[in-house]
Amino acid sequence: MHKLLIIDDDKELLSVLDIVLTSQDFQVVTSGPFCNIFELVYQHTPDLVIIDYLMSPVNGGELCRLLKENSATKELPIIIISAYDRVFKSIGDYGCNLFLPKVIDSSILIKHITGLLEKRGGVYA
Amino acid sequence: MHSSYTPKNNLLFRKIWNEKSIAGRSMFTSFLVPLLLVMALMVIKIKFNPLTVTPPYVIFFAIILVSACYGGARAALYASIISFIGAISLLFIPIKLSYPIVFTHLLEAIAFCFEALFLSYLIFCFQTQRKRNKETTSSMKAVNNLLHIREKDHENFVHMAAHELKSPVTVLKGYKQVIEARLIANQQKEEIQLLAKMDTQLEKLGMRINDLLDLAKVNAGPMLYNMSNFNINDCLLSCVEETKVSNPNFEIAFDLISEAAMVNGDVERIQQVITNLINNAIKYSKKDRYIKLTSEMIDQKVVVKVLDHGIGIPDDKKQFVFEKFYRVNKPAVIEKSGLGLGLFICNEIIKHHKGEMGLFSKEGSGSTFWFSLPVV
Repeated sequence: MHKLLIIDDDKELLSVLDIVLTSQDFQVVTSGPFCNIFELVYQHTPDLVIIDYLMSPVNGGELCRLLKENSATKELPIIIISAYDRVFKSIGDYGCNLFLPKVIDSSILIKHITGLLEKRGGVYA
Repeated sequence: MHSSYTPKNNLLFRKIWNEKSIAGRSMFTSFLVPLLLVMALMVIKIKFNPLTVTPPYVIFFAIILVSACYGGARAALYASIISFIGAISLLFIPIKLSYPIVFTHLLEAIAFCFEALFLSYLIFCFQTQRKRNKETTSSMKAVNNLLHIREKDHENFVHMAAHELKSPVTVLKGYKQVIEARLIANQQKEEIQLLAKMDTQLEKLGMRINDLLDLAKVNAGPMLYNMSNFNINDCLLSCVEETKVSNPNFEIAFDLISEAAMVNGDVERIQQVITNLINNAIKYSKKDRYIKLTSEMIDQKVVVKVLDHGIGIPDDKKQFVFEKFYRVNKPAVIEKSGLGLGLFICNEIIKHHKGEMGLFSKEGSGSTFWFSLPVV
């Protein structure tokens, strides 16, 4: 069973994503904005991370960049979700594997998660 | 935008006519300077009698202008009066001169007086007009700055509002899909249909929020682009895959060129264009639910077409479809909500990529929207 880590400051969205993805046989761990992303990732060892872009006090794009720049976690698939469909892409990619604009369709999200998990290499060095 | 470049003649003018300095001159110095200049002229003329053909009253006019540059219209007025007094005095002071140094007759002196006063008045008008222009420019700059700040605030507000609206809609959609899965499992067909109606409204709400964001982007100015080389066919196939997932009842055919067609551009923006054209084709399709995508090479350009068998566009409306906020005034169009920005934005994106965009359409039969991009 694959484990997903979802980081978002919207508790309702975390709740519904938890229900939807659990029903698809994923193990789901949810978290609010967390500055020390490495602590979170090493604690839960997810197979894929979903991060909301616009969070406070920490920007989801920056969390993604930190993970992608670290040799131990650079292979971890990361999906960024955002209400902004283009803004952050034009100032740099943050290295995410996929960017999904809101409003998210659960079936499309599940399809992308499955695809990324099939493609991924070793997660932790 | 304020430019730091100032032409040379403008710099020279500012050195001759310095409004800041003029405004700072006191009444005493504005009077003293012309007085000294006139006295100096008269002494030079009387004592040294230089052999110059320049009439003295011309030099008086020069003194008025020099005084104006020193102390503005006030100094010019003092210079005019002092010059007149100086000229008149020579008519009545018993100095024996071999020739008249200013005027021979009182009437000439009076005429000079009026001319001098008129010159002072012109300088006054010039000074006043420059002051007014400066005030107008300052207030316009202030208004522009305020407008700019308000526009930025407005743009930020729209973005934040769109974000705040999209998140709960995403949550609603998620719960709708969870409930739908349970209703399907329990075979509650009537409830599933009601849920489908709710989903339609959620879709509309999501699209309206996107329209608001589009409007904010259009108003915000030029879009940013992230350029790279990519295969346009990969882009098309990706868009088709996404469309099939969200529109499983639509037949989406494609006929793409076999070889790789590499273009230089922002892949996300081009996907935005293709997705917009596909969504329009779906939106305005009739019952046959068929659209076709093609790509072909014509004269070192790849031409992409999106064809539908929808309601089509009247001949007299085709020229307007790429304009901002334009929507064809037909019931079948009006009932489909939207702000009329999609094609305008698509056209802007294609123009930025040095491509072209156009359409063929027959009312009642369907439309083909196309765009071309230069290959690399």
